[in-house]
Amino acid sequence: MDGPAKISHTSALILETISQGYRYGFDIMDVTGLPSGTVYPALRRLERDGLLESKWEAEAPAQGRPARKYYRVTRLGNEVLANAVKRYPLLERLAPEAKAKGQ
Amino acid sequence: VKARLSILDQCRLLVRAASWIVPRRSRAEWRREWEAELESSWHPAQQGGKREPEGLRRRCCGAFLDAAWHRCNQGDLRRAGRHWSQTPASLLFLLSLALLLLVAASDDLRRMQAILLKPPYNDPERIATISRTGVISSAEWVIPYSWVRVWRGGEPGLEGVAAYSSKSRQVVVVAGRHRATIRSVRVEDSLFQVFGVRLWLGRTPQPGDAQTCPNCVVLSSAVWRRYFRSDPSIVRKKLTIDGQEAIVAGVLPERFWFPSSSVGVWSLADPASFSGEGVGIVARLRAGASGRSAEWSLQRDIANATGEAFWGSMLEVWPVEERIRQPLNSYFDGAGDLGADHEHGDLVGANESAPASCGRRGLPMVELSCRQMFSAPFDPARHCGGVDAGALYFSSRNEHAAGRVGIALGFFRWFDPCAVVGVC
Repeated sequence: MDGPAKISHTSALILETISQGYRYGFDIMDVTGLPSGTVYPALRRLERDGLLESKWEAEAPAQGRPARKYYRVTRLGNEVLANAVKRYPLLERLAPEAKAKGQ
Repeated sequence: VKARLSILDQCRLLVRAASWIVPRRSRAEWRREWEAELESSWHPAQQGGKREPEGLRRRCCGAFLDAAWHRCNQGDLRRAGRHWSQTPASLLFLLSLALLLLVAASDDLRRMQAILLKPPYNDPERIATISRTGVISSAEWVIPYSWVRVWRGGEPGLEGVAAYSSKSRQVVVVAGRHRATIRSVRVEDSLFQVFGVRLWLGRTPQPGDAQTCPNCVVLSSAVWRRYFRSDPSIVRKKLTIDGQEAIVAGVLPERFWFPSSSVGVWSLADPASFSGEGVGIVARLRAGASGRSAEWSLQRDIANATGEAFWGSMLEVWPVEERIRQPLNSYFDGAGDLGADHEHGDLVGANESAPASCGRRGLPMVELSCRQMFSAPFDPARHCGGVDAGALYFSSRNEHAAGRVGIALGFFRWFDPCAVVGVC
């Protein structure tokens, strides 16, 4: 009987943060306070497990910065996250507020 | 702006260095992602005056962990480590590590090396000691020197044979300003040739050398290093042994020890000086000759020479390699591993039948534990009610109960798995 995969608290926090609209690696670090040596390997692992997908921005934004890679939670990722929220009741309190559209 | 660029450049360098860890196929994309994040994080529109250079530098250092994740085939390092820790290989690794640390921390490293490593001479399986079995007292395991002459005269099973004094002794060695007490043994000048050992320094002594140099000595590498500071020109130098002048003929290689690991000085002696003496024998067996056949052949030679009836062999041919590795003998070095030491009782052998044969003769026996042996070595005078003669035999279970490594490491200091039978 295979239920949704169980993930660690850190992975759940990162997943939750991305679902709130913080899609870039450094943004996730900023809002969670997690170090890069934790965030990036976790992103790779979540992507490998099919809970996240990454894409490059199609074109460089107008501010003159280079195109960045962003992450998005997959359907499976959402299921796993919902399960994780039940397992970690404090997760929603730790997770950042949803990012406003257009930010 | 300059400071910011400088931090950015440093971070770029760190990321570039880390990128070499990432497999080639994903390196370019990996680096692009990190550099894009760096550029963006320092972009004026992104900063809002909040960023700290030190924070960014720390963040860039995390690129190495990210790169390592890629290098490890995208496996979960922690999970892999946890999985490995549950495998038998990890247990073996940890046990080996603990053993190595224990050996290195103890003073038994030399003994362990001697037990586990190959002896520093040719064909060690063909080098054997010859002694008499079924002995009752310590004086009987030795061989009359006259027998050596018989065997040297043409025993087909032997390539070479040499005698050594059955009793080693402590001597005072004085070299310049240095003075040391070292255990010494008297050996025939052909002994090292029988072993086939090549000296580190000096020429391997040959038969007849003791006549041309009657006071020559050979030193162990440990003595040479410790008391002569590894002097490369030690050969032909003079020193004093118990007040007598002696000349250093050479230095033996590391790990050579015979007949005991505590012996540091070998005095070359003329064969004639052993006449009428009971001696220890070391021999090089001819290739293909078994110890068992040599025992019978050697005994037959003696029977023929003396005109006695030949009823079987009372000789024991025991490969030195095996004897060195024989745990209890090697443990009690200095107490006569292959010889005798009356102060501490005699370790005649770990012969299973020895206590029984002694018992049949109605000799009183006293059983001592190994721990007792360490606290107060077997003393016939004390343990045997004042009888000043005795021999020690190990009961056969010793070897099986403790095991070679355990004994060599000196576990007897803490555990007491065996018993020693003393025959008074």
